[in-house]
Amino acid sequence: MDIREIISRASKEGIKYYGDSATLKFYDFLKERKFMTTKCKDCSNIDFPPRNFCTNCFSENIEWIEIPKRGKVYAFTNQKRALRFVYPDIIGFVEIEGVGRILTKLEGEDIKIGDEVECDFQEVDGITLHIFRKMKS
Amino acid sequence: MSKRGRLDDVVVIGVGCSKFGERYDKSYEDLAVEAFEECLKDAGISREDIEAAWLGTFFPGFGGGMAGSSLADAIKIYGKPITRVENYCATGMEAFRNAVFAVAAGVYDIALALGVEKLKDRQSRGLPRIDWHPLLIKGNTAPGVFALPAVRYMHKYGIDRKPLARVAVKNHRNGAKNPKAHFQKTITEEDALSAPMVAYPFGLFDCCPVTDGAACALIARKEVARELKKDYIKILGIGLAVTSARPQFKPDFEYIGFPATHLAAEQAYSMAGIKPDDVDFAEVHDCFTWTEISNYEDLGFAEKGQGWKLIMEGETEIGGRIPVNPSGGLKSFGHPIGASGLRMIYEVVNQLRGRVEKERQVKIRNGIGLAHNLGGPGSVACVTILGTE
Ligand SMILES: [Zn+2]
Repeated sequence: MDIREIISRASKEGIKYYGDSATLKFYDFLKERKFMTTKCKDCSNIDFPPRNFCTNCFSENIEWIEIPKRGKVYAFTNQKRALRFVYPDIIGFVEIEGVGRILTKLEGEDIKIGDEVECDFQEVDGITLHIFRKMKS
Repeated sequence: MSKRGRLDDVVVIGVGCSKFGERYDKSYEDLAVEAFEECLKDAGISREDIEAAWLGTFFPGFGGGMAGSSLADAIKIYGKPITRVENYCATGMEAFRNAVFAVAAGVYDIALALGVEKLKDRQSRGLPRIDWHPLLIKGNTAPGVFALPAVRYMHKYGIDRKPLARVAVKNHRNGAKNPKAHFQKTITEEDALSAPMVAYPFGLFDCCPVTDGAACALIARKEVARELKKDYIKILGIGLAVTSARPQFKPDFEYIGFPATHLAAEQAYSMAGIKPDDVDFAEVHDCFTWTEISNYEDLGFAEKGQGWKLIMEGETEIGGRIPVNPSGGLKSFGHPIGASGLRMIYEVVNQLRGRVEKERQVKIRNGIGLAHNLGGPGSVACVTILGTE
């Protein structure tokens, strides 16, 4: 097995075993191409990442909601790294109205603050991930 | 805070620092000993006088760092309370803070804080990711984490990469005069601006290096220092503040600075009973050049959005109004994570005692120096204010 295979396997297992059932459920939703998180039915707080209880009032009375797919770039950077990372490796905060700012991978030419981006799905190593792509103006 | 929450009777009686850099020839324990020997000599005590110690190491691994035993075996102090602490990149000052409060509590007369880190031998190089949460952390790295607020700041205040480059030029210039610094070479603004990109807007010279090193301080009650006839330095105030490591989801969070620094500084200023203007000079956490600019503002040396003017107008140069990082900072002196906070204490103490290289000596007006250690994605900050008698 070469190093790339080892890393890709580790990242898959990492997602499988990481922490809690809400995170697993998030990835299951991604497989169905749904970008979801949790909202508190008692205090209306939205959590991202999704949780099994509300981190504001600790209520377990929560529901899953779909996150709007469109947002605006709030901040971004373009990292240069080795191994399995391709260049450009752009990450940033996307501001989604009514939800908040989400740290995400970004894709697109010449990304700037304020650019409109849209959530899309990507198959990587057998798992589905979300990514925000710059919208054509 | 308790009304008794003052540190009137607690002083630094000695400091030590190893050469920082690529120390492939020295082990984890060797580095600790190198700093410790200088410190012991400086304080004029013997190791048996030390009653308790705090060890700061962020990455345990090659040669030690997991627990108190690593320090016990390095400096041969056994049967005493020794605790390892870790608090992101603020680990070194966290070790110091614990030792100071233990002495302040009256439990010990003399305590040691020592930070040591051996990083160059580790496999993880370049930009390792800093968290493993598969959803929150989209492979972001330390430069990436600080680049995001830097981009936002530059956008909001309409600045380009030039002020960032100026921070690198200043800190390299100071480090070039410091024999213990990792890098001892000057660079030009053009060098900084044309260097390869690491994570926009940070080029190579906007990032601090990966460094091996150790630093320490001996803390004592003032009566003890008087008996030793030491030119001790007073601890006027210490603050530590912890904020969310994932603040981006807070709708009102602007991401143009670090509230943890501001809050820690407020605690320290209030304990010391001073204002930012009273500070003669500061050693701050310049993990990236823009971080130093934000620190100016978060520590109260400039209004939010005005910090970049301090560097452009030369106010933070050694001869300026408020010299910052006369040591060369993390940028040039290096950043062995657990050691950095104590290396800052080492520099501030020696500046206040007038014991640094002549060309690096800042002007002492009020006899007050500040050290600032920042950790994680700006979520852990520790500020220490030191002063002469
Ligand atoms: Zn709630």
